[in-house]
Amino acid sequence: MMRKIYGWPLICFMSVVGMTTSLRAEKMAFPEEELARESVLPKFDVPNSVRNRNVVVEGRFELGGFLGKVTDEAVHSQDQMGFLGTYHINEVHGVNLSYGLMGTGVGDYAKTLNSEVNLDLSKTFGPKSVALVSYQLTAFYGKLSILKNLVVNTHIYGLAGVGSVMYDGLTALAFDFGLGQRFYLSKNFALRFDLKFVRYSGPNPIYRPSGRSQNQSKDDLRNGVLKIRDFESTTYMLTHLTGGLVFLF
Amino acid sequence: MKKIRVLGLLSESVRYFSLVILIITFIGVSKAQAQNEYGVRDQRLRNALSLYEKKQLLPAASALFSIRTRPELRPYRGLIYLTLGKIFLDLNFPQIAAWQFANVIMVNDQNYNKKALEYLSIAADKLGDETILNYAVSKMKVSEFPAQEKDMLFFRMGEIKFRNKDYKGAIEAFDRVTSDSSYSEMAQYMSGSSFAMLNDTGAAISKFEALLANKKRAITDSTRVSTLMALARAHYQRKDWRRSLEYYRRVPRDHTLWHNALFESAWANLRSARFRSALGTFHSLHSSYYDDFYVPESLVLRAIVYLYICKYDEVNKVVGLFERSYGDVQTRLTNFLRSTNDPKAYYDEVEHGLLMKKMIQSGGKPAEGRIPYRVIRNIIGKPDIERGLDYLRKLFIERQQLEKMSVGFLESPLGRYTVKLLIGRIKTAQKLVGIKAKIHMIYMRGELKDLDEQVSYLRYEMIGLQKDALKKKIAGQPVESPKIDDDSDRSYYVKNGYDYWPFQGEFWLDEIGNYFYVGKQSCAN
Repeated sequence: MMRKIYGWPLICFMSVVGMTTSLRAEKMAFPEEELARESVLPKFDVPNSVRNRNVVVEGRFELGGFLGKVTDEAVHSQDQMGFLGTYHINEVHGVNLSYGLMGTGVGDYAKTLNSEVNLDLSKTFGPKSVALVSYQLTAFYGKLSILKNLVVNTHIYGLAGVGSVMYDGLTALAFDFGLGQRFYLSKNFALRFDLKFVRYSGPNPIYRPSGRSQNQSKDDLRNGVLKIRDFESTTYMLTHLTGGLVFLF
Repeated sequence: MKKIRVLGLLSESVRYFSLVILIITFIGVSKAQAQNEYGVRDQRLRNALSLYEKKQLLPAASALFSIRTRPELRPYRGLIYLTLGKIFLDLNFPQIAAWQFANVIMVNDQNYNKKALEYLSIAADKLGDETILNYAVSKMKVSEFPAQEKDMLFFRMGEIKFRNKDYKGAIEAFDRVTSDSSYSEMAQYMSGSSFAMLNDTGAAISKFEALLANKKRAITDSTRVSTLMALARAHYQRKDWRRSLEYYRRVPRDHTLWHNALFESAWANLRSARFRSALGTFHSLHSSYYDDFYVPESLVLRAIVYLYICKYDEVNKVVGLFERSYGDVQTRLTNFLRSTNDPKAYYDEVEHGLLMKKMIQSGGKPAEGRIPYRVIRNIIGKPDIERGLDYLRKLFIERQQLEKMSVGFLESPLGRYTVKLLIGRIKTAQKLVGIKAKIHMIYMRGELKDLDEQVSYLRYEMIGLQKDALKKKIAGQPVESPKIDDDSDRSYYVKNGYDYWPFQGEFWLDEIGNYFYVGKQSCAN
């Protein structure tokens, strides 16, 4: 379950910086014959991957805030900010709660549509917030060596749960799954990155009611007299990418 | 005329004499035909033996058992017990069989003694019971032993001589084991060990090297690993630390002997003045992976290395660790030894230790017995205790086999006798294991006491050296001599291509055995 992580894209740049240090390093003084020749592990009665852990999460709470983006949100703001809390039942299982407030307004794509084809989507309904309760399964505990001088412990976990996506006048049932990783700055503080896929049914911003022409639809949108029930329902599967700081206690 | 008469009388006498001889021969043949091949006249015995010949083993055993104490069959007791033993050997009850062969020797039947000894040694070899084996082997003459079992006899004779410290005799016996025998490798190993005991390390090394080169074995083959350890020890014995370390390093990590190799290599590193390497080894040995291991000597050794390189604070820490880790062990061991005499109580501790080990291996957290777990865990791993427990396991298997027999047999006099016999043997074997465990505990208590004294001496030395260093400091002399690598920081030790993980308190399984101490010595010139 627990592994040491030897590489991670997020710290690639650090490795590049680190290489310069490594290349400068002088020849090591250890005799070659004393270095390990085998990749097998010693046998113990209880062969845990790690003993005397730096970071123990069993029975601890985790609270923090995050910023993020809904990367495939086409119309409305992709920005998100919120807070989260986790209770770790043991080193493997935990329960995570997160609440994210979505940014207001429309996104760049919608602005482009407005300027190029005169389609104003600013009056359509976008999600206001997302609340999720997820089961968290911590599959890996490991460590990263940064510049060969600093060791950062890390947890990789999977998430799956239910929640709701709130609109003005509508609350949609949502399901989520994903994975995440915490990088520990100390035994109590960590950077947390989550990648979650959230599926729910919500209003389709492309307003095409039957019996109304394209121009009439545009006028409706511009005047902003629409209600959420006027929009057709569609299924979303959106990618939430968040990063934040958490405190464990 | 007279002459003719004399000749006539003579020829008549010869005729009569021939007739008498013929009659005697006839009677003899008739009698022989009335007996069987064992020369037995008693009908019950003949019937029992006939059943045995027809391979009706259990009825034959019952019949023999029922007549074994008949006074009129006293001359045949040797035969009865021998046959009973052979039956139980055929039925795969070596302990019950061994007892019957021992009975033959006890009734001292000269006709069957040799045969009984031969079978007794075979049964004892199956059981791994040293006591019976030693008894049988010590009474046997090599010339009387069947050719196919001679290798076993030589090997066991060698073992007995080795235990009696007759190493030359042991070498002779081990060397007589033929190379195609299943005992050959063990004999070669023991022969090498005997040379090492005689301090003839050259001969020991050649023996071990020949054994190592014998054939291609798996990396973790126990004979291969034991031979590597033996070679490392032989080189250590001849003070060739470098070669000794080479062999220790060849011991594979995924073999149980690797832990011993790690500890022993610390000694070799220390003797060859490789203090950094020794300290790296200690870092592994004193990790939490070894919490259950009994290695008090390694802590004292670590303190000695720190003293060598004038790291007085570290000496203090290690001494403190020794007192914390083994102070309680010493007290509990002493209390137990003082309050307990019954060997069964010692065996119970061994059994509890085995149970604990099993529970720990399956992720449980069992309660400790009266003896600290690390002590009992160490005792369980001792070869003599292992042999005793192995013998007990075989007895338990035999008892299980017996319990699977029909109710009719178990309720018969023979059935009751066999069950009683096995239970008795189990109790005796348990007591023997208990006694051996007690001896180990007494030795461990003595060892801890001895190490405790060494720790006190270390403290005394450390205070003296600290005082000297302080005096030098006051006098303005340099306390530490300048080192070549003074200007280098940790990055000096980092070479591209090797893993480098600064130690931050965690112990990772894949790092055990790979630690290197990168500190410097702090001694003044």
